[in-house]
Amino acid sequence: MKYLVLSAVIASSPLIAQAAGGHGPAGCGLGTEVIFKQANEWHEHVLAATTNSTSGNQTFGMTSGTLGCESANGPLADANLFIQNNMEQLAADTATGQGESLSALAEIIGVSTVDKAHFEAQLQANFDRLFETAQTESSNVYQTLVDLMRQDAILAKYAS
Amino acid sequence: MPPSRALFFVIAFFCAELCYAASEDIDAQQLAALAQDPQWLALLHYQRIGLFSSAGSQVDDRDFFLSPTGQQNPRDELKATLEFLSAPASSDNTHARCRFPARLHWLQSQLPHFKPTDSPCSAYQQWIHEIDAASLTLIFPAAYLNSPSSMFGHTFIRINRNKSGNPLLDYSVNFAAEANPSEDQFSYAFKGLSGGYAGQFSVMPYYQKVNEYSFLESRDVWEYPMQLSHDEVEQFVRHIWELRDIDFDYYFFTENCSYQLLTALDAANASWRLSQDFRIQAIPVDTVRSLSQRNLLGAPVFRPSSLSRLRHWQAQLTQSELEEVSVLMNPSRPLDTNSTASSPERRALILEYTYHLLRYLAVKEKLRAPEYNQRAIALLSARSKLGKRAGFSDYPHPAYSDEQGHGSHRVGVHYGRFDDQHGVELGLRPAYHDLLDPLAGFISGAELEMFSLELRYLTERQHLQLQDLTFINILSLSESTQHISPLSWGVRAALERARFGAQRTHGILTGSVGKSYRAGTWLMSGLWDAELGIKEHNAPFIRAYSGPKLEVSRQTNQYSLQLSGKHLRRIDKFQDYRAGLSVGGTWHISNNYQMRIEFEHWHHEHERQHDHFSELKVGTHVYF
Repeated sequence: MKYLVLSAVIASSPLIAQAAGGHGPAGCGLGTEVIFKQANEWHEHVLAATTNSTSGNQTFGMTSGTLGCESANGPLADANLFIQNNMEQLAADTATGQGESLSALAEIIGVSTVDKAHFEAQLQANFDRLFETAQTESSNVYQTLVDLMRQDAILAKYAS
Repeated sequence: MPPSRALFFVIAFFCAELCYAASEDIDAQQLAALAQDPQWLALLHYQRIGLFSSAGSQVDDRDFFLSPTGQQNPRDELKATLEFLSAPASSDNTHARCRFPARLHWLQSQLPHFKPTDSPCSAYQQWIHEIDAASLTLIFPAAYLNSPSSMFGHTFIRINRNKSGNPLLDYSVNFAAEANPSEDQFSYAFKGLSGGYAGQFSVMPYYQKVNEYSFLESRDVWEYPMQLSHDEVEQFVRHIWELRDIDFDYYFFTENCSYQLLTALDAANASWRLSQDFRIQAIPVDTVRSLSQRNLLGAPVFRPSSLSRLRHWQAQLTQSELEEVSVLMNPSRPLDTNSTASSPERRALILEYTYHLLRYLAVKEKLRAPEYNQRAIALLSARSKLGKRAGFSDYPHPAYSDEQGHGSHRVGVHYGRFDDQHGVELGLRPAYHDLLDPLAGFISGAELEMFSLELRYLTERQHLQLQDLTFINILSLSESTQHISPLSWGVRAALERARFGAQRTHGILTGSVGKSYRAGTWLMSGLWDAELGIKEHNAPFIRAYSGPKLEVSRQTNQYSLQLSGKHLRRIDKFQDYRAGLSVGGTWHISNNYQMRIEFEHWHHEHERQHDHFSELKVGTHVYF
């Protein structure tokens, strides 16, 4: 599980990939295809994703899950993985209500240009709910985000 | 294997031969010509490296070849590829066309009548769909000085998608050594030099690289849009698929990240011959230059590191606001989020700056990360209550990008008076930069030299001598400010001629640590030096010295000045000391041409004998 921690992981030397091997290639997150063949619930996706991609071991763009595969998992599952891998930057962007990572999240979810400002403002207004403590897990952030969107008249259509 | 299956394979194989022969009348001559085509050789990574032309492919992985002799013989590999492409497909994803789409694409363009077998290749199709390539961007994370292994910089490629404007969601292609992350930097360097690692291409989301470079390592990043045709982009991506899980030997200087990126680009269009320029060493910034000279790069975008941004933001806060930051960042002080001293606009800036400062410090001081963490979330929470605010001004685009800096190699000639002798000094330095070199495109306060050689010819004595051979010299003088105070440090290992006594050549190892501060345009550093002289005099073998050192420098794009003084005493014999003062000034006539004047004066006390020495030299340096 990913917590909201200031980067305690030090990247190894830049010429070294953290591709330590042992994590075979898979599409849309290793879990959805290999571990949990019938993953339907969001938390199964979370489990599936976190078993594989904790330290940047995706060696061939097959396990990132942020992109593509929309038909299989829906954009929200991709959002979940994106949140997991960008917790710090997302917390910082949410606090200011803008930023590159927050825009990327909006794009993954498929928020239209018209609704983007509202999406950003809603997240900012609910910062304390989304990022309760420093120990908040990415899966909780994701679930709070889904709940929040479902309760919002404008954003509900993206979280069905 | 049961006999029946073996028989099946034999038949399948012969059928492949026959089917192929039937489908295409390709004679031996045509085959031989195709096999020597530069594009075919580039697809197989038949590149020359080093001083001698090596026979065969640089790929050190059997899986990359369809013929058992494919690594040595491009004709065999071509024949096998054509055969396998025409062989029947047994199941999805296993056929040669699914493994080698770039080879297939090129062969089809060369042999219009060639009919390969159809196969869905669903895994490859899904991958291509996911990558969704529209264009490429060359990414160059600039060197940063606090990690020896990063100094040469790094390059990789971002594949920009058709459907998105947000680059964080694009994929990046990276060639890197597969090292054990727990290994220390020195075994990393050693194995890297000797080919002890295997290198592989990897594909990962760009946000992962941004998190790594901008936040964890605090490296500035340049992003150069590449001007390629759509065909070239597609062929590059196809070829990257062919390199999936394929091992290359990794060599730090030659077959490194930047070099293999060029060989992969050559596979997309061999007429660029990009890798040809780098047979002996591939310094990443030179590979950027080489692409730029072929007009393959557009104007770059600059992505500042977290440290660059913090320094830019700090300059926008007043002194009293910075005092407030000091209070806010201290985890042992209660967080007063309702301060009314400043306007909401300014309050937002203070909170944002403090948060990013803690985030930067948490990476640097791992031990304090948990307490910083608690404070960080409270700061963000307070910031979120202030709504949308203007924020800090954008980071200004630097006047020079790294590839516009002076050339990596340097030659120089100086005329000088060395104590009572006149002489001429010749200098040769394959890499990279010192404080007196032209600053444009480099970080100020940073020095990295490798295998720098100085020869001196004394005219009266008619004697040519080795003056200095510096194996490595690193100096990192990063300025301390109110909240960020990185260590300044240096190391040097060299063979140098003693300036005293019998003037023998001896080994020398120096380490320095200290702090640097900026006063206007001057950078001032106070350091503590420790020095080991190896075989300096007849006995003992090693002598250790230690003492303070002061460095003052001013670097601009037009001229640079440097003044340094040190006073070192022998650790086991305190009366013995060496003290020196040196002053240097350079005038940068252009980025690749400078005039230089240097003066040194030394005092030395050894076995109660006092000696002093001075030298003055004037000369010029050319960079290429």
